[in-house]
Amino acid sequence: MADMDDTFQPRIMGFLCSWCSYSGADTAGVSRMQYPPNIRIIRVMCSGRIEPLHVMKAFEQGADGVLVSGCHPGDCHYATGNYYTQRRFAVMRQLLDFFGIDQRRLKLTWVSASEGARFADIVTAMTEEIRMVGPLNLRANPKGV
Amino acid sequence: MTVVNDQLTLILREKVHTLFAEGVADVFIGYRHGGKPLRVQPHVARSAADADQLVWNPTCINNLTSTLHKFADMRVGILVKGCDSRALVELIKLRQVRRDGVYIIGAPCPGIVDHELIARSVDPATITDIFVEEAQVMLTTDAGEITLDPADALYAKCLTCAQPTPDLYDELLGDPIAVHPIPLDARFNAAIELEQLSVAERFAFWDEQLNKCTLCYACQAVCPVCFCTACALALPRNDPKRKNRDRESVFSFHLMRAYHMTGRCIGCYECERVCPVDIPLSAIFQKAEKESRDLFGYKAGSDVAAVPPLSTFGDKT
Repeated sequence: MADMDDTFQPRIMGFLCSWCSYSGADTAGVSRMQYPPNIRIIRVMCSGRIEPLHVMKAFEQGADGVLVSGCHPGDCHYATGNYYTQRRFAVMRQLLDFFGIDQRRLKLTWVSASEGARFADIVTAMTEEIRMVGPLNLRANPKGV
Repeated sequence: MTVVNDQLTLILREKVHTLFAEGVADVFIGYRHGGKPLRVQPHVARSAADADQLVWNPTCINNLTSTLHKFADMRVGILVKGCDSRALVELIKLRQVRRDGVYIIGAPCPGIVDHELIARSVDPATITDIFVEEAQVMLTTDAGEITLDPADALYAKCLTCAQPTPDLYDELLGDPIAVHPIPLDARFNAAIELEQLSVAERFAFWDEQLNKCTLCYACQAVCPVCFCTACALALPRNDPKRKNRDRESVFSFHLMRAYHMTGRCIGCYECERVCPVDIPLSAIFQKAEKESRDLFGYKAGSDVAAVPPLSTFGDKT
């Protein structure tokens, strides 16, 4: 951990699809690329498996941002999963915004298995962005996750 | 005192008698007089005697399609207004109701009076008849005729209704009502007003409004297109989160329900009507409806053959 000072350390929940993005994160790790430790990753079989309810649960449990990542359009292991994801999260971002939860807290990206550097860049950029947006504090009584 | 619209009520009863006599329907879902002035209650007629209690007048607000699942194995007749018929379209599309299992009597609806609004200017107990026209609402009372502006008498959703006549029916009760042109976004006024605020202001607004929520789930129970038997969002009665009404649980429930209703909500706003703490839920579902239109060009309840927007994908999205 670089900064042990009082800088706000956002908690970011990452939902990555097993075939592309999770492997991409793996590539980043194997290649020893540096990116902030603020992301906690959950591996799912397909980005099409990720429901907006998962995202909302993450916010509910104290996450400041959520990264959803899958295969590039056209590359989905199950052919069409990420197209559904794209539609779902287009709606979800609008609704979050409508309820006063900044859209920037939910990010949908495509990362392929070879794009370790891209994954590291995305996490770095997102951590910085959420740091600017600030803590979400949706929990009325945070119990320190 | 009763609010009467004799002519149409009598025609309706006659039609239902015929349905029963010809064996087209076993039950008919309609309205009967409620216990209080200007109130009706849902009424399930199973016999000719029951059918004689049916009424149709400008106080029949309930969206009866939300009760259809209780009669899944029967031949059902139902009375629907314009907005209710859109809910029925969605239910058929989502395979909750079989089109051939339900006989639809469509009621062209001039607008429904809000008893709470009326009570501000007239004592509801003295009203004997109501007649709703495009530009005015005429009340016959014990003291004589009173004319009200629609904005002082009707539910807000009725003021901006673009489809007063059902477009899915087997039989129509009375003549179709001409559609008066409504500005494109008039139906989404409450949502658009909130969109003008900053994110922080919106959060403050919803924080205050949702703080009132008791998680009673009435909004979900009354919703015609929110039909799952077990809800992924509803907390069990003994869950401490429900008891404490934690902010994150309340936000999560309302936000996720809005998501589930995107591409489904047909804008009857029964949720807002039944909310015991008056949360402006219509704003939320206006937003859901608006997004489904803006993002996917989809209007819920307009076409039985249309594919729900989140069950498919397009070229670019």
